[in-house]
Amino acid sequence: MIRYRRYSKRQLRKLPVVIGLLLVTAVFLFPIYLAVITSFKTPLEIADSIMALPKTLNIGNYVEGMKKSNFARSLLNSVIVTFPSVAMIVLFSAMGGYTIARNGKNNRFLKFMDKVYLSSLMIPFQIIMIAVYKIFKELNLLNSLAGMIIMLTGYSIAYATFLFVGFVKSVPVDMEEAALIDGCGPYRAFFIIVFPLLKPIAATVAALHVMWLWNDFNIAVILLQKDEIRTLTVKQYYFFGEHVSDYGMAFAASIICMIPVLIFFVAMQRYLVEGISSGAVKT
Amino acid sequence: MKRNRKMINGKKTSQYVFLLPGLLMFSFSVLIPLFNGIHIAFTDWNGITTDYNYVGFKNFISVFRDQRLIDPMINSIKFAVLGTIGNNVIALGTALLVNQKTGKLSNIVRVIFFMPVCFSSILTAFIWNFIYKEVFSQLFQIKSLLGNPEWVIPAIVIMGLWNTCGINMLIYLSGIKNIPVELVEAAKIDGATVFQRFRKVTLPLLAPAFSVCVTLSMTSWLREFAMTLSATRGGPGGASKTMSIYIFENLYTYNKAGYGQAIALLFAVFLILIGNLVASFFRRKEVEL
Amino acid sequence: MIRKRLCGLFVLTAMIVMALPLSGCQSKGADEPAVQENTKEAVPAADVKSGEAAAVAGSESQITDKEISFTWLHHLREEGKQAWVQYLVDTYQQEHPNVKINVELQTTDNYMTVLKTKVASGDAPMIFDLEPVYLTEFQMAGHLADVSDVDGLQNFDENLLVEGQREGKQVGVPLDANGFCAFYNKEVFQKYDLKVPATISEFKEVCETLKDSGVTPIAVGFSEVWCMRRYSDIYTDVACVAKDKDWFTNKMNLSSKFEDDQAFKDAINMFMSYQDYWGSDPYGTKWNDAMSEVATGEAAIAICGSWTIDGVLGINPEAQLGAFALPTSEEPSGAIMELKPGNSFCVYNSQDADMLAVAKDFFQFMCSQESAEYYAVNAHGITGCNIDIETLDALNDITAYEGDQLYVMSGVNGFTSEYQDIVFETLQSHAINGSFDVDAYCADLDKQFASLN
Repeated sequence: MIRYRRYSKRQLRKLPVVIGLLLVTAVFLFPIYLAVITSFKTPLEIADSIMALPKTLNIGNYVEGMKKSNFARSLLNSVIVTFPSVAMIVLFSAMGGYTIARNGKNNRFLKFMDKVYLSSLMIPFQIIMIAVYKIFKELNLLNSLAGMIIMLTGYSIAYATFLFVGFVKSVPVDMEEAALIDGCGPYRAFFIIVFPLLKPIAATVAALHVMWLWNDFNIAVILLQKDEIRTLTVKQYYFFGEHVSDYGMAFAASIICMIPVLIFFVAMQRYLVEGISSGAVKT
Repeated sequence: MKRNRKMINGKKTSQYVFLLPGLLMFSFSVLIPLFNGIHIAFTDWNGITTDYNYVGFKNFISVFRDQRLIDPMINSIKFAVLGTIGNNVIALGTALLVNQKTGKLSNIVRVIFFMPVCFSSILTAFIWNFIYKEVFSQLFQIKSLLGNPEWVIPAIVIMGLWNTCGINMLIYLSGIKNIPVELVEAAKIDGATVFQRFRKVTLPLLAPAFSVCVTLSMTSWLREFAMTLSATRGGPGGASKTMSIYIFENLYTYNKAGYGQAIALLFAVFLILIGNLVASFFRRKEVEL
Repeated sequence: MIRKRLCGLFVLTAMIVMALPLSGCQSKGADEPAVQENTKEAVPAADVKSGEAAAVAGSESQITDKEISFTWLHHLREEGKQAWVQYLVDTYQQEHPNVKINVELQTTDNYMTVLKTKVASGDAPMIFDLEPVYLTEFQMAGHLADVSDVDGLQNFDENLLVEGQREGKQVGVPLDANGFCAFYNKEVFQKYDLKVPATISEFKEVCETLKDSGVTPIAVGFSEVWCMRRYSDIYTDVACVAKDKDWFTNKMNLSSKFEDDQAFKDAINMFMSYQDYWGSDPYGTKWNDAMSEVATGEAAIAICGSWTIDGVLGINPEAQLGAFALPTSEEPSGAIMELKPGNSFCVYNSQDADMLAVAKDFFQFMCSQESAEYYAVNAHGITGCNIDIETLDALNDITAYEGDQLYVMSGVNGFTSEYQDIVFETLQSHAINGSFDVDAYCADLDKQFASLN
């Protein structure tokens, strides 16, 4: 009781925030809830009612869905394709974003590249699709996970760099300038001083790209055409048929597909929360 | 002196060295294929024959005469206006909400807001089809919004917002986290109200987040494709057909690859202009600490 | 300043130089097939047929035992059809250990995109299937091999073979057919004591009874345009195309107008006269939801292709389905039961003679009775190859039908995809507001067709 009274005033002030949070959360959660209960239903139960709870906890959809999507192999493919690409994306675009942000004002080429990167984001993938296919075929990169990693990385660089450019500006110049004057090389200065300060935005870029690359369909469907090399995401599209779809199994397969990225995201939480600690910013 | 010059030289080259790895990858997967495909726009290629003829600017001229292009263009703009506003208001709102320190609740809620991002667009389209068809019809006694030419675009925007807001929320959130605590504290000591603190401190320092989120959400809504294709295929009666769907149809479904490439290029130029305009507007507002 | 600019210029030039060799080899790729076309043309025209046949026969008698691997690109996602694909491939590979067939499954949405990308990049699959519109396009581009010498085609229904013939060559073979008619839930009909209707007035009476009892008479999924097309086509095919095989072509080259086409207007009007029976939200319903309604008995009838049977049974294996011909007049003989060939399966006209011979040999196996039997049993389809197998009830209703009108569309060059999209998008937008006016619809179509030329 005493503790309750001691905290009540502070808690009361937070009440609107908490209520707001819970309301928005409900809106965000409802479709997920629908997807989950649907994934446990038989086709007939889905036909009867979308809202009703499944009569039994029928895990058949999950078992079948995993079997049909060749789960272990596809999961491995997804992991192999996603994580090395994201590592490269974060590193390369942090470097690129850093140099554009710091030197773009005095260097026309760098400024121009900022525009090129932004502009390339406007190009629909379909325009370059046939050319990509031809080039990858010439170089024997079709149906190869290495080829897929190269394509995904290259295709994502522009977005990630654009993101970094803005955020590097909010990292104070003083520290690296001090380091440079002290005789520290530009590369060392970047990796030892600047990059650690970019951690929150790097974590964001990583989280976003893990999500996107994991869920990529456009590129994978063109470059990876052999069954044994397909990613988990591509597999889930095959559960939606031309004239007939088994929704229960399709939903189950899709939910299995997103569990690994969700785990990754929760694990990343720590880095996403942590801002630049105040001491490091101002001298 | 000697050491100093060496260092400056090193710094000069390092400007490009930093850019190089990313640029190489980018050139290989985007620039080179793009330059390889541009010439198609000047041909009468139908997408499957082995040879084609160059027709000069004929395709580009036809674009301006194409009556069927007007509706998709208007639809894409509707998508962009609704989507951009909705996306940024909700994303910034949720980011501010999540940033409030409510202990464990914020952590859980952040994960929940981000969860829909994991859903593929096809799955999102199916779930929301259920919601519009079964849930809304029971709650509000209305027919599915996806079958209504006037409401179909807002309906698709809503499902798109659910699916993608988490991305911008994350970017706004890391922007907010980047704001030095001292500045906020200092403003507090100076007696600024919550609203003043938001306007004078938080908002200007969020400029980098704005330039990214507004520019990119706007152009990605202008390019809206996958979600609409899964949800309505551009229907009913073409009421939700976007430019990207129209371009795709010309490139792959109709035998007009050359023409499709020409529309796509002109549309890309339009997007580049708009995107750069918006981006430079916000980039100017970015403050350096 | 100048140095900086030069530096930028240098990098740009470097990028362009990097791009050059690639565009170089691309234009070479474009030249290559043109050369092949020339050599083809060099063969005296009169001898083409016999020459080609001889070449094929020659290579067939001595099918290579070199290691050969080729691709079959398909989009048959249904379990039974996938089993059929796997069965064919496994059996063939067992008999021919030197042959490796890569089966690549695509989703229906991506199938044509991937196929076109592959063909355009010189990486075409050897076996694939095409809709009639694309069959013409691919034939004109010279991508399809003539398969008229394949053994086993004599077992096929002549009407199906016609579908795959272009310019006197057999460039594709539809391995199955789809029946288009009304599929009904027998239990619902029993419950309300209804008889299968044979005339328009009987059909409308059935619909009225059902509507009064709170059952949706006809479940439609008009949120998907193709669903509307399949349904309305049954009326227009018989009213227009059956009388004039050039109906589509005439409309596309503007030599005939929709406004003056009374038969078309009547057919569309007849189609639209059922709109009160399409449930509460026809344009917000997807095809899968429509089938669900029939499966659970919330709706009684679905009018579509014979894949409906497999679909409804997939949702409710207990459902009792039947099929009846669609009444179009007050005479029972006017009822329509239409059969349409499925997609035509094709062999790519590869320049590699060994590859082509092996692919054709495999294609022959696809066209065999063994393949047809497996298909009929597992994929529940109406096979093109005549075999005597009883499968599902409703399918038997179709195959046992004795009327005419079967195969009115076989071998007809329909609208290209662009015209087709216009016709049905316009139909959808005119029908959706509830007050459909056929004259306004036809005027709109004429206007849009004219603007395309």
